[in-house]
Amino acid sequence: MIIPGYWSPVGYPAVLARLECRYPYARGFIEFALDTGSPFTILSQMDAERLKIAYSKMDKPPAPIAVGGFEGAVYIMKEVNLWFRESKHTEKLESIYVIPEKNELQGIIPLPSILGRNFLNKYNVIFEKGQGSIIITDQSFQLLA
Amino acid sequence: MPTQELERFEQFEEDMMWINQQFEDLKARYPDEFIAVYRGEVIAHGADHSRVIAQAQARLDIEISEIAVKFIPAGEFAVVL
Repeated sequence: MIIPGYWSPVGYPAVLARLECRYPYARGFIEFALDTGSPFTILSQMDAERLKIAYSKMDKPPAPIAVGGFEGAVYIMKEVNLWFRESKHTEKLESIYVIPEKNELQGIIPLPSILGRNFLNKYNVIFEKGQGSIIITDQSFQLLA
Repeated sequence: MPTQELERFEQFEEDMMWINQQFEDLKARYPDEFIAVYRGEVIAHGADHSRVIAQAQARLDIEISEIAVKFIPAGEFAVVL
C-alpha cells in the first residue's frame, strides 16, 4: 500500500482523503496535513463547517487538548473511515477530534485538518523535500546498514 | 465507491493541485481570502469562510463537502502544528 502526498505551497506535507462517518453523519473530501507531533487526527473548524457536521450530536473528550495554539474543548467523531483513492486504502479510525465551531483562533489562523499519530504510527512515512515527494506506506525499510 | 463519487473525488484532487500550481497568482488576486475552486475555476472568494462556502454551494449542484476550499495568505505564511 502506498499513499502518495505532496507539499502544500505553505510548506506542510499533505494527503487527500475521503472522510465518512455514520454518526454524526459526515461525508466529504479533506486535505490533511501530516503531523507526527500530534497524537490525534483532527478535523479543522473550516472542514467541519464545509462537511456540515452536527456538533450537537458529538461528545467531548474528558480533558481539554491543545491544538496548534488553540487550547480548549473539542468534539469527538467516532468510527471514521478515511479512503485514499490511488492506493484504494481504507483506514478505520476509532475517533478523530473536531475543532469547535467557535474558538479563539477562528478568523485569525485557518489551521488545516491534521492526520496524526493515531494513523501515522501504523505505517512508514517518507518525506523527500528535495524530490517534492511524500509517501505513506505499509512497506518497511532498513534505514541503517 | 460509486463511479460518480469517484469522479468527484478525482475532480477535488485536480482542483487542489490546481490551487497549489496557481498559488502565487492566487496570492496576488485573493490575498487573505478563502477561495472555492471547481474545475479549475474560482467560483467564490472572500474573507468570510461561511459566506464563501454558501456562495459556492449556491452555484453548484454537488455538495460543498466535495469542493476544494482553501485559505490564501497574503504574504509568507508558515503553519506550525
